[in-house]
Amino acid sequence: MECHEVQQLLAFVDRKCGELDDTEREIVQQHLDKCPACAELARAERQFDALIAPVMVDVPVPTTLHQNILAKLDADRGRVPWKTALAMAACLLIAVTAGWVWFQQTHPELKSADVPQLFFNGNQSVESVEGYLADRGVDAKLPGIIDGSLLEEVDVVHVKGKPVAKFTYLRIENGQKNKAYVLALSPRDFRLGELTHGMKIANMNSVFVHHEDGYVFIVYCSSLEAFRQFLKA
Amino acid sequence: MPWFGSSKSAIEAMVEAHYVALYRFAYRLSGSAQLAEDLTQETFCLAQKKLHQLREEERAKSWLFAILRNVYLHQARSSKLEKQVSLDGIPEIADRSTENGAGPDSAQLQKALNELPEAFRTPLILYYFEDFSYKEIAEQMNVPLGTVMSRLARGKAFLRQRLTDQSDLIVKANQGEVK
Repeated sequence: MECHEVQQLLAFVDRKCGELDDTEREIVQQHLDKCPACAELARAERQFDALIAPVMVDVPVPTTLHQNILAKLDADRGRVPWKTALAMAACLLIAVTAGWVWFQQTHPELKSADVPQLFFNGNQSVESVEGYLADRGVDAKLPGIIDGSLLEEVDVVHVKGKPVAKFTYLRIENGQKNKAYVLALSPRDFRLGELTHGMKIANMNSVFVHHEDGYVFIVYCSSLEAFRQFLKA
Repeated sequence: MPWFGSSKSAIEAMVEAHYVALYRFAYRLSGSAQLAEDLTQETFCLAQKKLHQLREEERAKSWLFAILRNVYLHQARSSKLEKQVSLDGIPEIADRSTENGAGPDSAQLQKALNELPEAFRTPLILYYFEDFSYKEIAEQMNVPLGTVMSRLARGKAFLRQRLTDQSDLIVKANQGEVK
């Protein structure tokens, strides 16, 4: 073995971790026995290490350290890490926002517009109703699936700040008045599904969504059965 | 080391087994008793949180040392504690001709260590602690084995130069040559 190879191995020879096996150790020792230069190098390394090693580990440990660590661990166990707390807050915020958006979509805030209501006696034509609304800047059409003879009232309300036609249908059956309210969302004012994303007709107890010619109708009824009663035969 | 079922028992067993070695490493790394205590406590708190990441019980000590070093580096970066002293002038093989056999005391050694960049200080400390093989030191520092060997050789040469100079001064002072 050459001197430079032995000098590289010297760092491993005396390690307690057993980084050289017995054979390698013996080869290095045989070289040191016959090479004074490498032997001197090894001696100096051992001497220096013998001086430094005990001083390096000579660090007095505070007597309270063990107890302090255990106390800190105990205190830390009950604390929610800030990253976890932040993630929980973010999830809560998302859930509340999603719930609010869903509520707004399924229960649009209705604010009566400053437009007189129009009452019908059941004889008005579809054209006259739509003309009445158009004159007031409201793009709307009557839902074709609902029996027009039951229309009793037309109103203009604001949904998300935009004027929307609100139709009130009335049917008296077995002495009971059943009302249905319909909001007509025009494609001019609302993106498709803006208020009704995920809703389908008859998918809720009292709210039904119907699509017709690009318009979206949100129908509020007391029940599916009441809704059926307003549909054309 | 016993390996208990609950994480509380496991972390407390780790504390029992390794807090002394960790504190000594932290002290030599930071050069301050207060910082060493903070680093040791913070290391065990992090270990408690990340205990599920430790797959092999026998690697616990190496894992803890690596956590402590990372905590130290993080703190040193944010507080600009870490110095960047160049070792360009220090060869891997130092001149041994001036060695006089007198060892440094703990404070002298710490002063010399404090002058070394962390990349050279850590392998030196771990080398003299003799707790880890070169391969384990390389894994802890996430560098190749050859890099550890090279840094160790240059770190030792630097240490030898600094401590020999100091020892010479002490010897000369004792002989009345320095006042």
